[in-house]
Amino acid sequence: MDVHFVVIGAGGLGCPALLGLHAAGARRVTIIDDDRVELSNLPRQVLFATADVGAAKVDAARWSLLERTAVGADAPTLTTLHRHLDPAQLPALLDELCGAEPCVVLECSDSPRLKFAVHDACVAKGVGVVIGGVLGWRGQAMAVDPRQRDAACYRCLFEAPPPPELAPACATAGVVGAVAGALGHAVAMLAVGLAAQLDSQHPDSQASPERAPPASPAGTCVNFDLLSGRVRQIAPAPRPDCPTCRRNFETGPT
Amino acid sequence: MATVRIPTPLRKYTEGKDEVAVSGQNIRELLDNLDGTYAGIGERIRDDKGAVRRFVNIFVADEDIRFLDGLETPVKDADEISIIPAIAGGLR
Repeated sequence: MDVHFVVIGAGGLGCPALLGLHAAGARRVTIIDDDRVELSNLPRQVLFATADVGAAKVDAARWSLLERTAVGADAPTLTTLHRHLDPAQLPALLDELCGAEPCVVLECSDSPRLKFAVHDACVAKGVGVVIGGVLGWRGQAMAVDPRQRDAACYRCLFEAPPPPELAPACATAGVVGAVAGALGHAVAMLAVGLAAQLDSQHPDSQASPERAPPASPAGTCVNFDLLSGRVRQIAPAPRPDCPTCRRNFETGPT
Repeated sequence: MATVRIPTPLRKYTEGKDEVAVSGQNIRELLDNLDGTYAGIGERIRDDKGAVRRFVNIFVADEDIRFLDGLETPVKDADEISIIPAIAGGLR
């Protein structure tokens, strides 16, 4: 798969998402995180081991994925950025990472504000993005493809991030580690679904021109409640007055 | 009565119940009655002007009420109402 995946956050969501991408055969992945591995991370951040404590998460994740590459197989290209992401820097970063090739971003950070900022920047640049979030027994993942006019974006569904006083963080409300694992893999699979669309449209694609392109997950929001085992899929209609994605269709990517 | 599915962050207001039966002719009445029975839940769903908060969505069956009649969307006894907030939390 000749699509570049950019994973923002290499923690509880990012680790399983990276494993999912690796298992799906992703050939080029960039991992972005500013944190270091702590002992308390190990139970749910399954790419890390005791020996990684103190290492940058991006480096520990890269080593772990390379160790999982079969002997004799071509190793994927795994690039790391050990840095804090400032929303103001996102447009330039997307130009740098996604300007020249098909690209899908996986938003796996722990910041509601950053999730919305990453989404908005990706839509403005015409880059596909999957937003993941977890809390308690619940998880939510939405795939967004700004090129698809008939598919809703994250802002079509949720107009603004929850204010801090109404958005309990995992650190205070708790999260079931396995829910993060399940959701991280769901984020990866939605990203692979977006990438399959890009791959089939690429000029060098080996897909047969007679074959119909794969169904896109764009506009789909998957909600897990794993205490009850309930999984719900929502595919809302695009909001006609959505200031984020509708503007993009009027003016084109920036 | 309609069945209202309660998301995890709001179950502390509903004695831990993940679904409750609530009456109401439309979504506005239903939310008023929900808050009447489970005090405090209403302000997590609507702001002080009575509008549904911008990070919350309400679905009747599988239809977003913003594409129906908003808070005036009629509710039938057999309807299932889902309250779906953005889950924007993550894990370091």
